[in-house]
Amino acid sequence: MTITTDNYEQYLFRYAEGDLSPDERSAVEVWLTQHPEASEELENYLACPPLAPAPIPYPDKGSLRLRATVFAFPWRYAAAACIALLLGMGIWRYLSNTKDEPVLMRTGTSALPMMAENHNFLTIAKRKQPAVRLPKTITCRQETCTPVVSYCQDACTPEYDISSMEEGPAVAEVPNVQPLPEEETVVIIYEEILVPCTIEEPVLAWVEVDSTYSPTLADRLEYWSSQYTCQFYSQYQMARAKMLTSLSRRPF
Amino acid sequence: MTQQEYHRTINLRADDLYRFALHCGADTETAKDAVQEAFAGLWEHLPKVTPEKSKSFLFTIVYRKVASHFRHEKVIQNANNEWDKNPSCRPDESFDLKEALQQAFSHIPEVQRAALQLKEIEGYSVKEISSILDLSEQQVMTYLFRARVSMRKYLTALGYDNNNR
Repeated sequence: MTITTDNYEQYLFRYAEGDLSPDERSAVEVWLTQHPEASEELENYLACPPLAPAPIPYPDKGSLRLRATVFAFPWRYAAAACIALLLGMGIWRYLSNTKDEPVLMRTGTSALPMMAENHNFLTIAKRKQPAVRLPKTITCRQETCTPVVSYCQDACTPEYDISSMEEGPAVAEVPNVQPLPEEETVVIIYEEILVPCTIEEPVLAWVEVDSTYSPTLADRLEYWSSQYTCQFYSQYQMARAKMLTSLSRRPF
Repeated sequence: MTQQEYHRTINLRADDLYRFALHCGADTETAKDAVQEAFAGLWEHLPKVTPEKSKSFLFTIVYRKVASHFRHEKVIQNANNEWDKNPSCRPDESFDLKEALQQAFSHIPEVQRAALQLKEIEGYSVKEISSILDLSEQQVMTYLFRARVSMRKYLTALGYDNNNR
């Protein structure tokens, strides 16, 4: 055992605590006689009063218990609740999507929802929100007098100017439709909701007809539209069924 | 350890842990955080910690939290300068021995305060203190010795001797 200036404090501590063997105690006492300043330190150590601090209460033990309660929360129930919530949201969204049933076709000028000056509006099928409008034009080929469905170049709002619409490329001819007189032009605006729109699966929204044409056009148009609508509505139904199956929407 | 034992431990140890953190130099908010963190840690390890080991477990976490706080704050342990600059720390004739002792205690470095508290108030052995403070036993003994020597010198400087005032 060697007491040095580097380790003497440990020995003095153990000496004061009575933790040394008799031989070690003797060695320390001899060393102390040779180092009076260390001896003075030992006196200070022994003379220091013991600590007796007053108790200091923790301000809010309840919060510690509350924290324990939180930690004991059954996380599996929380997880189950989250899953149930997500399922419920999914079901709600599905059901809200399925609510968009088309209104039955209304034909004839008397059933028109609005009448713009010099125009007869014929509502063929009206959808609820959300609505993606992709207007198409159906013009009458002068050669064959059969309606041709084509895409409008730009998506339009209901308040658009028909004259600004440009006829897009003819994609398909609508079969089984009563041909229109060659001098008449029919513009049909489609309102497509939910159903990914293709030229083969248009959904008829309303028809705007220039009333400057033959006054009997409305009657003919009504017949024509009814044929058209049935055609398209069945196509819409097919498309909608397909959409629901795939549960996806194609962007436009 | 069961939940019941856990709650019993809160009643037993929360005050001592809080006092320990404060005497290590933490402010009230840091001390509260340290105690909360200690019990949170105990809860997390509830199955692994026995009631006998819980006390040292808690003190260990509290000390480490306080020590890391001081490292972050870069507190300079210079009690003499603090004493000179802070008039409230000047010796006062109205101080009794208890207050003087508290003054002397706050004068010593934080690690010495922690070691002395654990030994004289909480009753830990040198070996247990070394585990809590993450020091060697030789370092603990050295700090304990220096702590009491420093406090005694401080009391003497204040005019207190063995006969008290």
